[in-house]
Amino acid sequence: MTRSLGSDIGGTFTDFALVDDVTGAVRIHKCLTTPEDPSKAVADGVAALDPEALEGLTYHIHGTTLVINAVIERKGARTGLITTEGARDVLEIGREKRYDGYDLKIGFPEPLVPRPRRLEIHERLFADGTVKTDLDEASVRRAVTELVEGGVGSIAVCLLHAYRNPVHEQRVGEIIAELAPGMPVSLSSDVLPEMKEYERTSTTVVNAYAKPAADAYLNRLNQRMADAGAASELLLMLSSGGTTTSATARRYPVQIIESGPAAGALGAAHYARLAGLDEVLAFDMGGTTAKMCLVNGGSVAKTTEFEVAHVHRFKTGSGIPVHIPVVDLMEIGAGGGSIARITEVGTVQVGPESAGAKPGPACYGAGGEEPTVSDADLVLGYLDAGHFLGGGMALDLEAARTAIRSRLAEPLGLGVEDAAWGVHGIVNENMAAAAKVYVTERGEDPARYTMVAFGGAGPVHAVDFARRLGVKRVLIPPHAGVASALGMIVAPISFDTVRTQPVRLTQADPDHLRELFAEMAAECRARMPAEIDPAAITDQPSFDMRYVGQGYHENIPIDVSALGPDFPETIVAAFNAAYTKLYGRVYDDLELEIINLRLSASTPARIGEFGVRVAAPADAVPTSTRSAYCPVAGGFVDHAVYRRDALASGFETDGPVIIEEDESTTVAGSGCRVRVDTQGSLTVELR
Amino acid sequence: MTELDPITLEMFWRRFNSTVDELAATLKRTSFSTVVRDVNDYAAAIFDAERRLLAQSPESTPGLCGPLGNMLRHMLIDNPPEELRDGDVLIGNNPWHGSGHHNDITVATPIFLNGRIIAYTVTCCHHVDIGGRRATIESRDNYEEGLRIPHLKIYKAGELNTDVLAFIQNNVRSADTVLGDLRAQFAANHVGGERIRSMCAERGWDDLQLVADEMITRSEALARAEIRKIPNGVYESVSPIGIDDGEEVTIKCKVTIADDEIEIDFAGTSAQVRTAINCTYTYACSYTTFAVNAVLELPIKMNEGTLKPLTIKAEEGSILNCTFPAPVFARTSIGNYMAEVVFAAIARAVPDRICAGAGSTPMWGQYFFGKRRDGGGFAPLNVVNGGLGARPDRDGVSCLSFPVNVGNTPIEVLENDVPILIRQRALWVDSAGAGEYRGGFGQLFEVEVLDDEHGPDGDILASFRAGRFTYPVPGFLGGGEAPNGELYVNGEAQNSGIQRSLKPGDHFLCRIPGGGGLGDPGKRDPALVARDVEYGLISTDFAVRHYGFEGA
Repeated sequence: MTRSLGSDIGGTFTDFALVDDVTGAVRIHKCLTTPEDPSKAVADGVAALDPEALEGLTYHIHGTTLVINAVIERKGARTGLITTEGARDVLEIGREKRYDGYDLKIGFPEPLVPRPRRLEIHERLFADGTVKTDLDEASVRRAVTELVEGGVGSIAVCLLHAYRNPVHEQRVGEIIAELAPGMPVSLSSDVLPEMKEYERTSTTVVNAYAKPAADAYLNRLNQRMADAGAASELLLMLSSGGTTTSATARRYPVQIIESGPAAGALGAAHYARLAGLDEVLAFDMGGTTAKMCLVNGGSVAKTTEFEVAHVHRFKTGSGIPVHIPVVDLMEIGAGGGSIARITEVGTVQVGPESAGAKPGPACYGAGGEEPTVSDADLVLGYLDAGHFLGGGMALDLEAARTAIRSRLAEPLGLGVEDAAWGVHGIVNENMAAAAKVYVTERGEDPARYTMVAFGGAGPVHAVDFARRLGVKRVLIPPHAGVASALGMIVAPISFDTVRTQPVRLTQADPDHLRELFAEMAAECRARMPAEIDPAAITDQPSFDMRYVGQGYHENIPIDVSALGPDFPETIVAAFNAAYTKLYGRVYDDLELEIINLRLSASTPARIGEFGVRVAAPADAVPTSTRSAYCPVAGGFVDHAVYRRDALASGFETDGPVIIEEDESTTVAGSGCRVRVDTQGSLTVELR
Repeated sequence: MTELDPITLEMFWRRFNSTVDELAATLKRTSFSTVVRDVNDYAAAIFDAERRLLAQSPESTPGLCGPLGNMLRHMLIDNPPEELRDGDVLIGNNPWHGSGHHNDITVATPIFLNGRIIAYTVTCCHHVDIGGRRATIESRDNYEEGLRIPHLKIYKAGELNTDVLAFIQNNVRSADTVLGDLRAQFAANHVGGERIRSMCAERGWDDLQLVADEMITRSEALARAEIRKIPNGVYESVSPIGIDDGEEVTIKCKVTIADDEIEIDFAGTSAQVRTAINCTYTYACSYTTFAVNAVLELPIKMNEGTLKPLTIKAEEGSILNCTFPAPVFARTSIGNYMAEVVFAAIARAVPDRICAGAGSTPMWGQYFFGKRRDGGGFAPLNVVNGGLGARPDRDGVSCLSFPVNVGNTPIEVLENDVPILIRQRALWVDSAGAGEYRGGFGQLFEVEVLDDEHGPDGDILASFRAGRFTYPVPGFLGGGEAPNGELYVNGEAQNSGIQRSLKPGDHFLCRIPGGGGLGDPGKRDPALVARDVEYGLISTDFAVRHYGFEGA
């Protein structure tokens, strides 16, 4: 018997999913995260999950917030940076743009490497990668010695145009190894061989900053798992939605900076695929934020423009840029803990401030006095005070009503229920507004998509949110509380690489491009587990292209066969198709250029089917009836209440209905048709 | 229509703002112009049936956003609303009615429901070309500055007015791009209109006036309450500005706070000049409004209500209210100073709401024109920014665009596109005005034109934008000033607005000042002085002179 294990470390809980590779049977587990040594919770959880869990384990796929926490909490290594002469301040100067036009108090994150530890060396390349000034090794030795004497524990090297020719960076790496054996080194030409020195330096510095901590952690985790008897290989979840070996993760810790959301979207999308749905809007709503992500044909939308450790959480441009492939996610401050307040113009605003876990919503009875989304959900009858978290936590309905009455309803002259519906509706409206921009910016139409809702608050809000967004179908997968851990199991093993090679399309040499792609494919394979059958790996090459003179480029997936006799017409056609989808038109009179070559190598999704349930007679009966607000009916109506685990495949009913499970509650009002599919997912059709 | 409860008001208020966001996203995505995409040189707004501003795109350049209301009013004088039909779309680019130069074309679409106008969606974009002379401050009148489009109907009852389109097509370079971008504006306006109609449909309303009235009334009350927090009084500033050909102008700013009203009067400001840096009144107002908004820091987005308590005056014929046909192309050179002169005037009244002078005002940069050896041409605008002024409770940010918002071009991108090499992009030591809070640091930007096979085919024509050569960036409330800006070509000091032909091997250096300081430098935390010395941002000498530094 062979099994796969997914483990995901979150801020509060570490989640586990153990899947039988043959039968698809799933077992899940949750335990408290152990912040002082997160590998402890992993080992403890595995033991608690099943003493025999490690027997026959093929893969253990792991996701961790270790790297991002190191950056946010500034707990990484004391890092030094070596740059080309004249470029030491690039890391501090950044892109010189304000992310908020009207904020005079605007601020940016302090650079991870302060000025005295940013040292310049004498060397220079031309833009085409040829050498203008030879590497002055004495200047390198001086810089390395100074950094070592200054007590650095990790060194980043980012030289101008090194993405085009790594020779100077590599020699600097050798000199560091000679002068400071064992010193962790991150070369920009290795971490991110892509044009734009600020973003490449920033990414390389984050890598260097997190490297010693990631190394120590992965050692501990491997040791603990070995001690527990696991012979399986440890794979790490990448921010891009793929997985990689722990050796690769050690070398490029920046690549695992944000793995949870990617895995969650993949886990959600997996159930949609099983249901035959290929166009998915994954929607995860937790306590503080809501995240959305498009998943087409089982692969998550990706981007390489990413930031961490924002000064203002939801303002792009206020963070530290990390230009690695990440899932293209939209996140807004809308969650169960989002606080509702009266604005200075006498209306109601919900979020982005959150009551968090402490004190939490008023209904948690832990001292929270401000009304939150969860308080509204309770007052509206969506949540059951006696059955929250499977009855593990009692909610205080009176506290929720008091908070809404005193802080919202009375000052505004509204009834408590009307105010509660206002809070619920406004948070959904906020999400719909953000989602509309997110989806249309990607050239898509929400009406074609199925929303897959998970997270504690996701299924509570999904149906009304979907209606506001124009989505017609909502799917709530089973085990939605551990979607990330499940997503890790289905994630393909993959690696992405990039080469900057700016060239006008008319001047490009297709043979050279093919060679580069072949080289990139080989590099990707070297970063994937050795035992993978090369025949099982598929490559997706793509170009970042633009019209000459444009500031932005688009990623255009291509087929290598397009680099044949019909080049470049084949590439023009691919570009035109993608550009038309995004922008509705093309400019035939303008010249095209290639900026970057990208290649993503991956195995197929690892498990075809799991969570399959045996169809049983659909004779489930409601456990009770509850009065809850129905927006379609325009008031409180009786909702039939079901326990989700009592519903078998084939079960069907019409709204208004409430379906409860331990991790969440699905609310489907009048005008909805609810059905349980063969994999145990709930589908809600909106009419 | 039923009475409006606060929840419904919030929903629809947000909906107006998110509709503008959607409209702006559509426009930005579909526009070819890099100034639209990279510099946010576009604007989108929704007006109610009475031509009152309800929402505008928050990311837009103030210079484009601010004038939309005035532009719409003028368009509707020439095309009275009662004569408009469903499907009509208006177009125009009069600098005196709109954003101050011809490149910015405004498109306004009346939104009809049941035969009545219920709103207007309005967009404006900086177009890549508008005919006339290319980017230059040398035009001696507005006629040299390209095509003037009167307020016409570009669509009549849904039919494209091909006569108007043909006139535009025949008068601009890159006509396909310009027409393409215009179509993007038509489409964006249309999308906005659909959203507004669906808002009415959702509630079965005939129009949105109830929401509009409530938004504007409440916003105005909020703005007035905020103004009341500012002590009554008359606050003045006088700011001399050196301009390109050695001339100088003076901007006089008198801010009168009377209870809940603000009046800003620029009386006494210098007359308009020969150089194409004159501001139309509408344009000057937009940056002045920006300054007031930044000061008030209202928790809501700008609309007609927030604008109501503000009156702006500038004498006709002055550089802030130039008369036709004054040349106006580079009006940012003067308009950018509006924030600083307003802050300078009211710093004593609201010391906690302003920032000191910015080294990034006015915008510095270079246009490079030339040919590469591979035959490709280049004509990029490269922007380099000085430091932001000190704030009431924190230092300024080093190298940050203000009040326009144009970032830099990465060294590696620049060197790929243009046969030059950037010798340094570095923080300029001692370039920030001292103060309890100091300015952000400015920048040293040094470039050499490459030689031989890496060099250009022929010379590179470089057109420089720079400033603060005569009068330094001011500190406020006891804060120190930043050093003057400097430009050197091959080691020789230059005037600010020069255009030079650069040969292979030539080099130039821009020293772009940091921001001014705020408050008495003697009150600065000695630990921060020591840190700046340790970081090599200020010299020991500077630290001793300005802060009485005793360490090191």
